[in-house]
Amino acid sequence: MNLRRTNVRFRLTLWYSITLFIILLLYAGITILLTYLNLRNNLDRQLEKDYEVIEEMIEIRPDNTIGMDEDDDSFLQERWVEIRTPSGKLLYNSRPFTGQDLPEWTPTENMLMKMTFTSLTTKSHLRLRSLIAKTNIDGHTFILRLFRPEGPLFKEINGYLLLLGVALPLALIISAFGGYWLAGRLLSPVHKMTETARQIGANNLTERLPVDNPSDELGRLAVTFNDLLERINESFERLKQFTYDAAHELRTPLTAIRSTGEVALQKPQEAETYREIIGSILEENNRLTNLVNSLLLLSRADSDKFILNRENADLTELTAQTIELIQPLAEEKKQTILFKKGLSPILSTDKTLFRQALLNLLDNAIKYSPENTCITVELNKTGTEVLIRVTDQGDPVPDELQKKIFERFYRLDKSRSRKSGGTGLGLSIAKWAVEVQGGKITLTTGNLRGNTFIIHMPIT
Amino acid sequence: MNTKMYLSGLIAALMIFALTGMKFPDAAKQQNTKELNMNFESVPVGKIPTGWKVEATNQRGPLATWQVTEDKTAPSGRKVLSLTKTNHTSGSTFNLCRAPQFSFLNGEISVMVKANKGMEDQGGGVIWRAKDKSNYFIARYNPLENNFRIYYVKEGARTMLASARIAIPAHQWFELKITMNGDIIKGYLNGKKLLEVKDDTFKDAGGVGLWVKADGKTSFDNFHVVAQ
Repeated sequence: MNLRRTNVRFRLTLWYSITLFIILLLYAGITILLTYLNLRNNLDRQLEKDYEVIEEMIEIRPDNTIGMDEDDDSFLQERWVEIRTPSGKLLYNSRPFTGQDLPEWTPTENMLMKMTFTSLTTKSHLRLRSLIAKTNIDGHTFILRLFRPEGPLFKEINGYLLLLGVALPLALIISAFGGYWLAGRLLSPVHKMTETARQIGANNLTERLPVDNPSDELGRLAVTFNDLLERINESFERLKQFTYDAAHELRTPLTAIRSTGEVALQKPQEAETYREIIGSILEENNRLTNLVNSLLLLSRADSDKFILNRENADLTELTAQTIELIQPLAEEKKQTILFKKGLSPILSTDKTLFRQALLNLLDNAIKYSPENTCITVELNKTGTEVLIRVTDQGDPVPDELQKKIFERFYRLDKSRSRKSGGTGLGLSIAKWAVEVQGGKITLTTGNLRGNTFIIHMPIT
Repeated sequence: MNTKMYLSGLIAALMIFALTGMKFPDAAKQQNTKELNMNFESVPVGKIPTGWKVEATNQRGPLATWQVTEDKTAPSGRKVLSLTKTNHTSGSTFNLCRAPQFSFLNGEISVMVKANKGMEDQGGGVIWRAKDKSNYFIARYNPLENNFRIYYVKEGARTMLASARIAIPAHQWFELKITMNGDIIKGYLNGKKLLEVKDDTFKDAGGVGLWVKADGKTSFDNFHVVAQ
C-alpha cells in the first residue's frame, strides 16, 4: 500500500495507532517484566524464610546422620528440602520430593561462596526456584537446597498476559476509531476549505474560505489564503480594468480613422479636403502611436526587467532642456513656463526616465491650465533629496481623487482629456519613472486654483 | 687486606642484588595499617566514645540509649559499651553505635559480646564498610535463634549472605570476629571459623560500628579493628 496515496485522515490514524501500539506493547512488556521480577523476589524471600526454619530443624544424630521429624512438623510436608555434604553427597530430601526428577547437580566452589538463587526445570517440565546455601550446623558443614514451584508465579503472569491480550487489542481498536473520528473532526475545516477553494474561479474571486477559528493553524492558513485571494482579486480587477480601458482608448482613434475614411470615400472630394482628411487620419494615428508606446513602456515596467541607466546629471540643465522641449505646446495655449532655478544639483539618475516624468507632468499642467496662464517649475535641494515642483493653474484635484489620478487611464475630465490628445497614462508613467529610481511624486493643491506636483529624487 | 676484601665483597653483593632485582623482604611486606582499639575503660560512665554516633536503620521512634556502663564481668576490666534502653518498640529497627570517621575496607574486626535481654531479639554484632546508617555489612550472633549470620543492609533492607547454627548461652561473653579481604568475608565465633562468603555489594571503604536489632539489650567490650 502506498501511504502517500492515502488521505491524511487515514495516515494520521495509522501513525497514531502504530505509536500507541508500540507504547502499549512497551508498557505491557515492562509491566510484565517488573511483575515477574517482583514475584520472583517474593519467592526468593520465601525461600530465605524456609531456610531459616530448616536450619533450626536439622538434627544431627550421634552417628552423624541427619534427622528431620517430618511427621511432627507440617512444614516439611509442604516444602522441598535437600541436604548434602559439601562434596555433593545426598544426605536427606523431604517427602514432597518423592517421584520428582530433579536434574543432576554438582556443587561448585563458587556457587557455595554465597546464597544462590536459580530457576530450573525438572524432567517432567515442572519449573522450580531454588536456594542453594552452605550452612554450618553445630560445627558440621552442609549444603542446603530448597525449592519452591514457580507455577503460581507463572500462573499470575499468564493471567496478566491474558488480561493484556484482551485489553491491548481492545484499547487499540477503540483508540483507532477514536483517532479516526478525531482526525475527521480536526480535518473537517480542511474539507470545507477544499470545497470552497474548488468553487473559486475567475468569475467569483470575491468568495472567501470559511474561518472557524482564526487563532489555530488551519484558521491562520485560511486567513492567509483569503488574503492571497484578495490580492489576486485586486490584481485581476486592475487587469480587467486596464484591458477595458486600453481597448476603449484604442477604439476611439480607430473609430475616428474609420469614420474619416468612410466619409472621404462617400463621394469625390477636393484635393484640399483630402489633405485635411489625411491630416486628421495622421493625427489619430499619432495618438494611437503615443498610446501604444505608453502601453509598451508600462508593459516593460511591469515585467520587472527594466534596467536603469544611471549617470550623473545636472538636474538644472536637464529640467531646462525638458521645458524647452515642451515649450511649443505651452505656446499654443499662450502659456508661459517659468523656471525658478535653485541650486544646481548633480544627481545620479536615469536621464531618459527623469525627462519622461517631468515631461508628463508639464504636459499634464499645460492641458489642465487655462490659456494665458503661467506654469512654474522650481528646483530645490534639501539634505536628502532634490525637489522639482511643477505648479499649474488648473482646477484643484479633489482630495479624494488625488491618489486615483495616478492610476492608469484615470481621467478627471474624460471628454476634455481625450480631445486634448491625452492617453490617460501620463501620470502613471511619471509616477513609475520616479519610483523606479527610489523617488516619489506628491501632490498639493491650492484653495481655489492650482496644483503642485512635486518630484522627490533621493540624493544617493 | 681485610678491609679491601670486605669492601670487594660488599660491592659484589650489592651488584648481585641490583642485577637480580630482589627486594628487601621487610619493605615488600610493609603496608599501611590503621587500628582502632576500644576497651571503653577511658570513657566516662554514661557516655559513648568521642566521635562515635548513635543512629538507627529503619528508625521508628526515638533512638536507643547507648552508654558506657560498669560491668564486673567485663573482659577488659570494668567498663563496657551497652545498649541499655531501646526507647522504641519497632522490631525492624537496627540500633547502631558507630565510628563513622574510621575508614575500613579490608582487615579484621573483633568484639566481645554479651546478650543481656530481649524478648524479640537478643545479641548483636559488628558492622563495616558502612556508607551511612542504611548501607553496610553485618555479622551478628542471636542467642534466641542460636545462629551466627552475615548480612548486608542496602537502603535499609537486610539480605542474608551466610548462616551457621551454633548454641551459645545468653548472659555470657563470646568473641565475634570477621575478616574482610576484597569480597571474601569470614566469620568467627570464639575463634572458630563458621562462615565464609563472597559478596561485593559494598566495594568501598566505610565506617565500622556495633549493631543490635529490635529490643535486644547487649554489652560490647574489646572492640578491635585492624584496617589494611
